Amino acid sequence: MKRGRWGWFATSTAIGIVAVVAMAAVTGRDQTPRAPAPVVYERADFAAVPTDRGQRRRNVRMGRHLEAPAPPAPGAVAWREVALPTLIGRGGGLTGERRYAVHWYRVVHPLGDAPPNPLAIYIPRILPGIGYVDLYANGTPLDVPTMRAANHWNQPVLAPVPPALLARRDALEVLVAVTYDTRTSYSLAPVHVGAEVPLRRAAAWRSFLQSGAPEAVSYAFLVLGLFALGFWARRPGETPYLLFALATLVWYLRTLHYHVVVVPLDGLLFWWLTINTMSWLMMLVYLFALRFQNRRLPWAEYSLVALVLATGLLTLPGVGLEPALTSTLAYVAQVLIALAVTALLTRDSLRVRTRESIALSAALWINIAFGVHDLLLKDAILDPRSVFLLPYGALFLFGSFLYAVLRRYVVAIESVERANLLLEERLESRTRALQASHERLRAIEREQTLAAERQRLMRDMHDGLGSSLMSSLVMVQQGRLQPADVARVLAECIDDLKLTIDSLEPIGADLVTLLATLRYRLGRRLEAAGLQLSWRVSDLPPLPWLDALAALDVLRILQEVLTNVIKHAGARAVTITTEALDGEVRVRLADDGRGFDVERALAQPGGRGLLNVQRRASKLGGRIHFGSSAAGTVVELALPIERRADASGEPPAGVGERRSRRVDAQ
Amino acid sequence: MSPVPPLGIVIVEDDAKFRAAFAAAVGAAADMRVLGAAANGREGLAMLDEHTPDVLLCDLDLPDIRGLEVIRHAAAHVPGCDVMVVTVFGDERHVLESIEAGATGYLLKDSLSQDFLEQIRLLRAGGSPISPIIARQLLARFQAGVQPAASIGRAEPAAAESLAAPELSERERSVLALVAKGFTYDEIAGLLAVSRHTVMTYVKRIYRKLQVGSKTEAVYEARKMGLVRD
Repeated sequence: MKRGRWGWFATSTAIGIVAVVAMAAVTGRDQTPRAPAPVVYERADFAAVPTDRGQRRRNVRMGRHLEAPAPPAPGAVAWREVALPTLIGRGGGLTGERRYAVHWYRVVHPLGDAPPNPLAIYIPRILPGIGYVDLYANGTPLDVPTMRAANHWNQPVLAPVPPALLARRDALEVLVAVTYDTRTSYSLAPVHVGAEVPLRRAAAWRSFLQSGAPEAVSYAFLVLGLFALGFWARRPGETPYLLFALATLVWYLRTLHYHVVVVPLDGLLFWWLTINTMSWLMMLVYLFALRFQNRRLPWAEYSLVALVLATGLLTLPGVGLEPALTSTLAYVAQVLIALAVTALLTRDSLRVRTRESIALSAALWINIAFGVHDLLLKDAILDPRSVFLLPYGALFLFGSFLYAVLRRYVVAIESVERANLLLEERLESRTRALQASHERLRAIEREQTLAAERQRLMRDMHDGLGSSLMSSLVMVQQGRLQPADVARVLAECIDDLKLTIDSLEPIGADLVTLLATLRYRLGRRLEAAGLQLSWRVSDLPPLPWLDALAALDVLRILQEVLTNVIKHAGARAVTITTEALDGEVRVRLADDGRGFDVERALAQPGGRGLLNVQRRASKLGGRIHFGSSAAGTVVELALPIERRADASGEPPAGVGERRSRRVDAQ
Repeated sequence: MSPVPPLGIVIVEDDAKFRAAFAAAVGAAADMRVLGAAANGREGLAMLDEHTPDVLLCDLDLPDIRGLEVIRHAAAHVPGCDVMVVTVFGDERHVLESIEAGATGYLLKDSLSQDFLEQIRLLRAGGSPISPIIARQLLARFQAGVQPAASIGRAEPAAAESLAAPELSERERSVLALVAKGFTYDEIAGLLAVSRHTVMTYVKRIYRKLQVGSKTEAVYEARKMGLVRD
């Protein structure tokens, strides 16, 4: 990640360095090595002629070209030889009176026997201050489109020479007329004469380096700026993105004059824009940097904005200041602002030592170096063949911007990822905790289920099987029990056990199956007792509450009733009937036995176990009714189809449930 | 009186007392003969192969191999042998497993004192006992097999079941339903207007179908595991 971030900065820096090196290389050798090599004239004849022409053409210097001055008649001026490039410094203070002069440069190129065709004149750069340039071949003015363009100062001059001008001549006389305000400066690069093809190639290269590439760069950053603007529109809190977008726009405006051919504004207004955008840019850079460091310096910010606004207002065309003066004023202000901002940010970066701030400061210093170079070039102190470097400063400046933005973005993503990770971890641990507690709950549930089951079986065995076996044992030990009785008791115990097993079998909440099971188990005993069983069961609705626990209770109730019939009723026939009625299911057992006194039996605890049966029935949420007469007994067990939650559950602990199998000695 | 040869019976029971009691009871019957009484499964298998009995009495809990294997062996290799499982409680799981393995009847151990011999004779005559709970389970099981629609959304076992389980006839289903409601064979015979013997053979047929079903299922499973090729 870190490598990547540095990589980005390194890449943009590398692009910048490569561009600079390439420029140096290209400016070093404009001619191509191919034959026939163009001739480079590094010396020329020179003559200065005062003129008043500039006065009239002043207001149209950027876009229109009036007729060229007439070449001086032979012998009318005194020619002297000068070196090219020529650097003409400022001829006096800017406050002096405006005076124009035409500087003539003459190069004579011998044509020889077979001159290359087509022939062309190429001048890498003519950099006028306030003025314009005309080019003549053998006394005839040449129409060079780039020399009429608004940014002619940044375009190489390439002029094919019409063959007609060379007819019956043994030499080509090239004249360059620089009409300029003598208070300003200009520079003129050496004149190349030769075959058009290599010269055109050299010119194209130069044009690309001086205006094509900067144009591409400014558009590219403009697109990035749009992207940043879109981002800011979605997240207005992120001011640096807006500042970045504005900076790309300002940069675009600023570099417009490097490549624009037709100026969309009034010339002076355009120059005003061009000059002032630099300080706007510096202001944006500063605000950007501060916000990126999450720092606010209201005093410095307001001062800067005020200074930038004041410069802009003072240099506005129509405010009345001399254009040459305004440009200087603006340049001075620019330099001051740039230096101040750079110094402040450098101090900051040395203090906070974040990579973004160091990168930004470095970019600013590179831009200042480029700016100094460009000023020297503009003021004809450097070789005009040099290239204006500031457009390439954008690579460093916006490179550092992008680096900062990218870093912030990556940091944001990383923090989101960290947060997500944290969240995930938290979620996971929460899940684990939940699972653990779920496991615990299930374990508890299992234990409770087991405990309930154990308790159920324990109670059942304690009251039934256990007590039967115990009392039998005692009586066997006392010799009071005959083998036949032992067998009977044991058979009863086995029946008990079978019913216990049956209560655990799946019966699908079907009471009829439960009754059927009872019959299946006890049918033989009824038969053996000589009882005729009349089975009149019909389908019953399922009882949702009929689990193993309840099933055992139902089985025990009916077992008890049937056992009583077998043992005490002296009946010959038993009828078992079922019906569903009023939200209840009813099981009726009717015998034709001798009957018994229900009141007395109920009042006798442990007597016939009727109380016990009643308890079990009410525990199931149902009730049991005994009706007995001399003609027989009818026992009716009524159970609810749907059992309310509060009607279920265990009876309070301690309520004895004596089963009433009496083990009588015979 | 009749020239019918006595039923040859093999007993596989690890409990020596029960083994002796069974052997004694069978030996006392004129129409039955004990061919062998094994104390463990392997012995039982050997006796099955040696004697090819008419009836096998087999306990499920054997010391060496599972009683179910002995049952399977008898069902597969001893033609015409009726297998009776000897069980303590006749609970659903034990009985159903045995029936699937090929048993057609089961004996509760405590029936020794009651109608033990009669049950062997009944089984031999084509009648199988069945409890209401088992009848209910069988109804539910065949239901799932007969109606593939009911198994939609369930995984392969259901598909296997529907593929495996042969359908029950209407009569067979009625018999099962009535058994599940607690009616005796006699009562069912009355209700369906057939003989008691017919009712019992229905049950035996159902048992056979269950065995076939579980066999098909086993083949299906084996094919799935790559043990058997088509």
